[in-house]
Amino acid sequence: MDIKADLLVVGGGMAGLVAGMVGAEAGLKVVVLRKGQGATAISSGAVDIMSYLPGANVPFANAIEGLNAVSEIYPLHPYSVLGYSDGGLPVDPERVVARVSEAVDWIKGKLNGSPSALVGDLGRTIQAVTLLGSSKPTSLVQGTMFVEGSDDWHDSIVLFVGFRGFPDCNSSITAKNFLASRLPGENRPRRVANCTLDVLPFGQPHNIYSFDIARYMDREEGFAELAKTLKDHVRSTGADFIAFPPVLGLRRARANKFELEDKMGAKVFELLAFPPSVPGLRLQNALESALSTDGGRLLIGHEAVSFEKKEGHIDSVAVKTPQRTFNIIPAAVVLASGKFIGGGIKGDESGFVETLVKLPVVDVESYQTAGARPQRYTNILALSPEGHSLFGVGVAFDSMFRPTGTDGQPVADNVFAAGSILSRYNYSAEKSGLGVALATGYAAGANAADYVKGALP
Amino acid sequence: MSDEQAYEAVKATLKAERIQPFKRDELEAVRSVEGCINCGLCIGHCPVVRAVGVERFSGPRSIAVELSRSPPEFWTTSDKVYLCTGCGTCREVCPRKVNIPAVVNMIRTRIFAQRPDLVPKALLDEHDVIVKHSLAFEPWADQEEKSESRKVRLETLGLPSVPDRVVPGADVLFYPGCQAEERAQEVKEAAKYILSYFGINYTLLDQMSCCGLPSKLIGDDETARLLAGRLQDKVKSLGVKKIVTTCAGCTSNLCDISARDGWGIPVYHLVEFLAEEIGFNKVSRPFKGRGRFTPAKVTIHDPCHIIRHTSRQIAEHARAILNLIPGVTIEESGMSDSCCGGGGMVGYHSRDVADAVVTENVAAISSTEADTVVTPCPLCTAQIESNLFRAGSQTVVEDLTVFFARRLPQKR
Ligand SMILES: Cc1cc2nc3c(=O)[nH]c(=O)nc-3n(C[C@H](O)[C@H](O)[C@H](O)COP(=O)(O)OP(=O)(O)OC[C@H]3O[C@@H](n4cnc5c(N)ncnc54)[C@H](O)[C@@H]3O)c2cc1C
Ligand code: SF4
Ligand code: SF4
Repeated sequence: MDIKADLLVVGGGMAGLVAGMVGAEAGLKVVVLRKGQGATAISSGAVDIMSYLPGANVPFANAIEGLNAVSEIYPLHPYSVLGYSDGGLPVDPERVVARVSEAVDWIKGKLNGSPSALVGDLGRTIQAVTLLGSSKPTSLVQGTMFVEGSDDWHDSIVLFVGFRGFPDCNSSITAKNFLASRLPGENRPRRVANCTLDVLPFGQPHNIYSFDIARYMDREEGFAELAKTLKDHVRSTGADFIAFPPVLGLRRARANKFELEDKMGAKVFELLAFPPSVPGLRLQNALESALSTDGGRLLIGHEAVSFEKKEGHIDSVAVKTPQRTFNIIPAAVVLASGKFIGGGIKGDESGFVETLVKLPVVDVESYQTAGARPQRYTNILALSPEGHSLFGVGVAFDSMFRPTGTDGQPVADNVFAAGSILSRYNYSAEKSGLGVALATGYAAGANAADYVKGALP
Repeated sequence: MSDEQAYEAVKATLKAERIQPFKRDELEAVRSVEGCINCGLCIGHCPVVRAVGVERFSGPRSIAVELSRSPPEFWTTSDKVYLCTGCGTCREVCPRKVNIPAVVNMIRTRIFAQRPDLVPKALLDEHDVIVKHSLAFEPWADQEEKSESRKVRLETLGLPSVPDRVVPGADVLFYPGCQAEERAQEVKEAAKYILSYFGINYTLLDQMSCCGLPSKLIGDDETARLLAGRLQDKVKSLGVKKIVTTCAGCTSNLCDISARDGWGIPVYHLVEFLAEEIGFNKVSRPFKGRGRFTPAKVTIHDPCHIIRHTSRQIAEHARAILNLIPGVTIEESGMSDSCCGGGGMVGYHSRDVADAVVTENVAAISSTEADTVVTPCPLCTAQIESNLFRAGSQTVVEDLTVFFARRLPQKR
């Protein structure tokens, strides 16, 4: 049975869900396909906008500075494209900042009240503390991961919490590193402490998984157990701040944070964790429910496998579920199928491919990869400020975020692309992943809506 | 040594090393584990991990990256692989579509062949029942009693009785599955009523025979294939063009074996058949202009074998069909697509795990304050019913086929 849609979004990560919401807000009938989970669900759940210039050791003072720099230095960067006027170049940096800022305000509104409600803005870098005690500059974090005053630890006592049998977090290492990475006098706490709690979701003090604790915190008895065991440690250390691994709940994290602060008389926040993390899934879930609130339809376990194009127009996309195949007849399509994790781009010894439309894949500088092996795009150093240009490959696109072919022309008049499927930026070196997904999803969704309404210039 | 001899010689050494070569149709699933990127996304979604923790059930990633990697040592996984309900949640969220449920069956097949002593006893008992009767349940000893039970059920539900029919050359085979044949007989009766109501030329099997899914899940691949072959013969000799079933497990398994063994016959769940083959136009007609329907507030449970093994579109059809019935309002529980714990034969040997899985569904169902839970599968119906009952809930559970048939205005 075929389905008709004004807007078909291929991909249900940050970029696709945002594009879908924008389409739904514009009154379109929206269908979003999500074949599996992608990078959004696996991320740390903090939204980076633009933290580093690739190659630089020192982060930008804030995202506004970052966006300005990108607009000057990389006129083809997806962010820069937001600053094109009708005539294209040059990039207007103010317009870039204004459009990203609009998308940020919008998503904050969308996620308001959800367990992953976001805090932060472009004018200020949040130094989010990680499970290793290091800090990571980012722009938006979930409310549970944020405390007012965390940019000035001066004169405070910070208590790091671990759980017995939970191997992801060794709170004594976190505490030591946290202190060691801060110079005396400079934003350094008076004292750090750590404790290991006995909170046993399944009764045994070993082999506990982050989601086990988070789900336990969603239940009253789990939270009560936590509050009870924590109390003495807070009293004996005199902690002003209590840092948790991000396990305060999948659903009740926010309420738990506030209740704990109340009970303990100290500020509570979650650290950033390794993938897959609870906040990543929280963010994914919150975006999905926001889409459904807007009236968009999310088809889970549905994979776009092929398409039909007539006269420069994609007019049908075949969709597969484990045992069935049917067609979606869209007026416009947003391709937001991600990169290597999401599955929009694949790479093997025969080169890179874009998996659905078979678009040509270009590198971060817009050169065709044309069969080059992915190894060519890796750096000798595993970790360096330059990163690996591998993460900058993707599809080429025009000023409307329409994917383009080898001739530089849009491959179809009704197809737009957003998120990590795009080339010309290296999210992992820049720390810009969810930010680009948000801003381009917002723009591509709006362009697609204009297209459907015949309003695209 | 000829190729043939060499092959036999190698096979013999494999046997000595307790390695059972993969069948051609197992290869795709086995190879899918090579795609695993160890991301761990699946663990956070697995309903068994959610219910009992990674200590008791190490979860899908461990199946992909550890438990499936050592053919001679598959037996070491026996305390884990029997706890997978086969719900397919991991495969659905996996960025690489690693086919964990199929890999679990592959491993169980190896354990069954190599170390039957490690197969849970309850599964071996079940194996005996299937081999003896070609049915997943001990059949009624007394046919009189069976028909008496059927009569009582029909009367309680106010469903008309439609005589069984075996019609070679009919368009459609209605295949009720073991549960509806032997236990939830009302489901079979309701489906017969619906099919005849809409004038479908259908037939039953002369003698019900299991589709082989339980054997596959036990790891008894030989019986599973034997039953599939037997069913294929029956289907071919009836000459039907389509198969319709009311069981979620039968739907996905029949789809699988029909494709694997080249039956060339499409398989539908009744819900899907109503929506796509009979069509909403026709299905909605009986309800038009009839005012006296008792209101019902229902919530839905979507069986894994339908949504994750066949297609989530069927769940959408189920809602569309319920929405055709005047007076019915649907209250979503938010957990409708979460495994009920009834799959993978887990309940046969580890009832505590199966019931721990359904706990969250029960809580979510109760919070809707719906008076009825409907689900298009008699097995999910049984699993949810017993757990709601134990939780002291007043909510009734009804198979969707029965629910629909009862509201179909009786023709005069
Ligand atoms: C481990 C890791 C950690 C990260 N941490 C951070 C972080 O802390 N902060 C940050 O800002 N960024 C982070 N990033 C980067 C960021 O997560 C990504 O850049 C961003 O999520 C990309 O979003 P997306 O919507 O473009 O793609 P994805 O989130 O990958 O979504 C792609 C979607 O497309 C679907 N899909 C693909 N093909 C098809 C098809 N044919 N049919 C149907 N559906 C399809 C996939 O199933 C998936 O749902 C991280 C990335 C990784 C890998
Ligand atoms: S099939 Fe279901 S129960 Fe089995 S590992 Fe996957 S998610 Fe867990
Ligand atoms: S989700 Fe898939 S790729 Fe990731 S760990 Fe699980 S099986 Fe492997």
